[in-house]
Amino acid sequence: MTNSLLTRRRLLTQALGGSTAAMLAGTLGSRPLLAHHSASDVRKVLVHVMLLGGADFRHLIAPAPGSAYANAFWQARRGLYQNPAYGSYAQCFNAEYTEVSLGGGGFGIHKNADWLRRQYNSGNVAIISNVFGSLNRAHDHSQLITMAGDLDADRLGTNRDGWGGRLAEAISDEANVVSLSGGVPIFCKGSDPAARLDQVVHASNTRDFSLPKGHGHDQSESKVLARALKSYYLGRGPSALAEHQRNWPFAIFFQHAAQIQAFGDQLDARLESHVADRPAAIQALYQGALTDRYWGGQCANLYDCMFATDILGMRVAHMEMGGWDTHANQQGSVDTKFSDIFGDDGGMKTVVNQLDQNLKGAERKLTFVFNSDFGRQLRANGGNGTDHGRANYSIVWGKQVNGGAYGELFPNSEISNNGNGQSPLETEGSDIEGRTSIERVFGALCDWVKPGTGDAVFPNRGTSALEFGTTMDFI
Amino acid sequence: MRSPLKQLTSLAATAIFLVMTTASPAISNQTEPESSNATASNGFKPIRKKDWGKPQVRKVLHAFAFGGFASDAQIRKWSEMPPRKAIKQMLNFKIVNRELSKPEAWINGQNGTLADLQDLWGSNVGANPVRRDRYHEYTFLNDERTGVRGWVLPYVWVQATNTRGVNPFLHKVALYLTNYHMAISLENAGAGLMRQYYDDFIIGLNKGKTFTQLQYIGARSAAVANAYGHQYNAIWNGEFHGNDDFAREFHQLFFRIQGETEDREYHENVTIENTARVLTGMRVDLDPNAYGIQSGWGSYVGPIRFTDHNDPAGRFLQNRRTHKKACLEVLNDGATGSERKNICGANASEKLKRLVNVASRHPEAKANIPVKIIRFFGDDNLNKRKIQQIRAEWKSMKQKDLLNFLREYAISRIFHQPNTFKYRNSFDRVLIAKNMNTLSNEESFARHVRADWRLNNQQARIFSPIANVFGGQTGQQAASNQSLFRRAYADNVNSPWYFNDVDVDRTPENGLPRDWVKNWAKTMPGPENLRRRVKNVGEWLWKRFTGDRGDNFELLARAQVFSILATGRDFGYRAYEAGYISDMNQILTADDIRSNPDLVALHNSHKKTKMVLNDRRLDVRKLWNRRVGTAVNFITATPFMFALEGK
Repeated sequence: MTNSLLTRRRLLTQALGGSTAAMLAGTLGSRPLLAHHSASDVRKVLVHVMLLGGADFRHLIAPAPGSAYANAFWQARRGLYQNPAYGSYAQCFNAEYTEVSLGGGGFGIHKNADWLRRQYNSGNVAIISNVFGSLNRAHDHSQLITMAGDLDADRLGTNRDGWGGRLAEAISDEANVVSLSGGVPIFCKGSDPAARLDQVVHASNTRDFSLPKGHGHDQSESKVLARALKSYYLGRGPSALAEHQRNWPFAIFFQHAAQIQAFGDQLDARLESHVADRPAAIQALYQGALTDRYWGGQCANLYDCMFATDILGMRVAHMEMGGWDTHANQQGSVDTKFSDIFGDDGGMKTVVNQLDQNLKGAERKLTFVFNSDFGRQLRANGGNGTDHGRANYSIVWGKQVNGGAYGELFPNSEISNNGNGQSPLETEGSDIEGRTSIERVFGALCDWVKPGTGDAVFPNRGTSALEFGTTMDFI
Repeated sequence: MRSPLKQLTSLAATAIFLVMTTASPAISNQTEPESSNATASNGFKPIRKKDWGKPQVRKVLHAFAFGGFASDAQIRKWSEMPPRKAIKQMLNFKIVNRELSKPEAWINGQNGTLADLQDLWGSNVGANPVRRDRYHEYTFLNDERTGVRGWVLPYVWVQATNTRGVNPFLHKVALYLTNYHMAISLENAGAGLMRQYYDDFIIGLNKGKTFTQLQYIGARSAAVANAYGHQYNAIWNGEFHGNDDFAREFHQLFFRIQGETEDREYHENVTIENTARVLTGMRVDLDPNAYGIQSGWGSYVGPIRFTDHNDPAGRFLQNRRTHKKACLEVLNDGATGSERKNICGANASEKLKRLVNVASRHPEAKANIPVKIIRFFGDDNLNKRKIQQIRAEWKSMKQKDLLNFLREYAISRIFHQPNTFKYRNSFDRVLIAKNMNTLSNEESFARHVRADWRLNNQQARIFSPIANVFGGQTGQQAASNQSLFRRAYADNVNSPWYFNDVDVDRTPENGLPRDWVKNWAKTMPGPENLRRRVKNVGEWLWKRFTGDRGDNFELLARAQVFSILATGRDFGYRAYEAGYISDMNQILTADDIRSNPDLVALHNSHKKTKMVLNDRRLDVRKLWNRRVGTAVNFITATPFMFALEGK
């Protein structure tokens, strides 16, 4: 076995096998991988971006003026565009959106997401329409369903697996999900109830990852505590795990320490040798160039991790951005978010460009999928925002994506009489009709990471909903 | 509108009154809810007397009261009482619970609200125990008196939980209500309304309000109306203007009703949409002189006045006129007979009063609310059998008496059984550690350790829940979070002073009445002058801080704790210093120690060392007490501080 693909499970299994503390503290910690790391060492990585709160992608993507749909769209949603207030939809569209050129156009992408639009025109973006997971419009349950990739997820069942965790398991026991966010959500967790985190690495700050070494001289209290705790965790961990049942509540903390020890020093060494100083453009992401520094920090973590995919076993990654629950004054809120993610100075463009410059080819191994709790209602509410809906667009970016629009981007049914004399776009409370299950979209992405894993991660996808006439060959 | 002068006069009078009197007239300190049930419920089976002892008492204190401030003697007394008798003393909503958190003189006269505590702690009255150079960390008004400072509220709350005389159980329940179950954030509600929201629950709990009544307090509050924005929901010319944000969360978060037992379209198009109309006519008053503000925009103030009126800022608010007057159908799908009632009332408050009663009887609410509560306080390993008992207990209470429910759970067999465990969120872990390390109010105020910074660093943000309206960090989230674990570990390694500072000198700036020096000897059991062996001190500290019975205090933990207590050094350093190992960083296993007579002898020598924690020589006393603090740093970074076992 090499150190480079050491998973938590293997780490602990080996630790329990007998070499225990010496292996944990010595072998793993003292042989950092200094070998040159290039893009050819990077394997495919799927990045799951969760937009928490229910992102209104109908604000990101809008119909070109001149159609009956566009007229109805404007009547339903003009309340969202208050700054400035426009006299007509054409005026609004021209100011807020740029029409795409791929596939004959017909719709625009928000100007704050201009990088995304250009990527769409280059064939690197797939927009899959009418995708649904949750049908209940509740944030907590809907997030659970999306993260779990399970439409039947029990709302109280928070101790469960996620589709990222299942994907890592399906790839191999050497693959890991790396959470780049502040937490480790259900998306990352594995299917064994007693070992949910076996294939998870938490890299919320790649520059502060290893066990603390203390400060001062050898007899300083800080050094005393650093040595005492490290010796205790690594010396006691293997025997403690052997003595107790697998669901012993304290096991997880011994595992955390062992894993940080196993990966931390190696990651430090790799970053020191390959990317000691982050490029200025990457640093700017979390130092003020973006409104959302938390998002910027995750982008920087991703950039770093691409130089250490072998150490971390990274095949799946998780990122998140909050603040999408836009019941009021939606425009002011989402405009900056689009910019932070998809703009010309945004996180996506910066990471992709910097990888292209400094780890050329690695960016081609990345695919991003953007999801949210649910979509939002079709009509603006009285507070210049939108209320919770159900289906939404799924947006996928990658150099290996077959770009284009999948499914009916602006369903004709939304302007058809729904039986009560009104169309959905005229009816309070209406939302996007779900036609394609998240299982279809996510399953295809799993198959991209490693062929054949889609059915393992989503065993029911073959019978799940798929919009008529639509294929999942976007990647 | 009150004039600024009158307002200030009123505030000053209130402050003086509160300091001078022994009890606030508005708040009962003797409250025992009428619905309190002394008999066993159908759901929870009480723990047998033979299974009730000091570990169980300590476990209850850790789970429900941030550890509490009870002495070892008090803990022994409770362990010798019948559990039901003990739990009534341990857990109640009195403003001052003398057994759990024995007051020191100055606390008399406070009503336990943040506003009251802040008025005292930010003032220069003689009874204020806060050091003079820290008053500004409590004052609500900014220096220019143009607005209030929300950023001080987290520290006020943290200080409340670390103060003897304040009831930590009461404040933990208020934390649950305002930061988890009916969570809103300081940023969205505004500082004044957020504080009032919290204080309304303190008062409501103290007065023995049922859980349903507490939900009503939340639902009609100005803070929630401002945070969600439905203060702008209105009927104009017969047409609804507004959003359905809180209309949905009223059901989904406050009552855990997702509409699973209703037709989906009915739930969305009738229940949610009509609830949005219930929430019309809830504009919040703006007061230019709120909280003593003298210039600027002022601040929103509660409670909402559900009338057409001029607010203190001179705005004409039409809360009656813009309210949807007609009766509204909500949660009626599937209801039959007498349950099928529309929600009527002349204003939002009246309608909400009816609606909370309907919602509280909804099957989803009855099934989900109690599970949510128990998951927060006691168990991250619920199974079907336990959930059935929890639901049965809740169902058995005609009035949803939260206090009785929590008490019955705290002395139940399912709470104390081996397969129950609770991962501590950062609130619990950080505050238990701080409370166990703080031996008096004098220490608390003299040291002035900012636990709120540590909480913030570890993703526990009071009044700014990490998941916004879905609440603060849960135990499960904390346990899964490897980075959080590392931060907690690193905080102890990098900042040993947090637990082991042992003195604060009196200075003109801090205005302390005297120098403060730590003295663990006064708190540890046994005669004060007894020289305590390291073994006994170590074992006592382990139990005190972790709540563990000692089962997990095995050889390696002992080796480190005893070494630190005896010498101030870690065991590896000591073994290296003595020439028994060649590298002070070597990882030692229990077998390594057991198989090496030199290491065994070294460990035994540490174990037998006598500590003189109250030595007359100040420098010696400080040295020993400092080592205790360093050992506390070690203990509180072990796994046993991150979770609480059921056994």
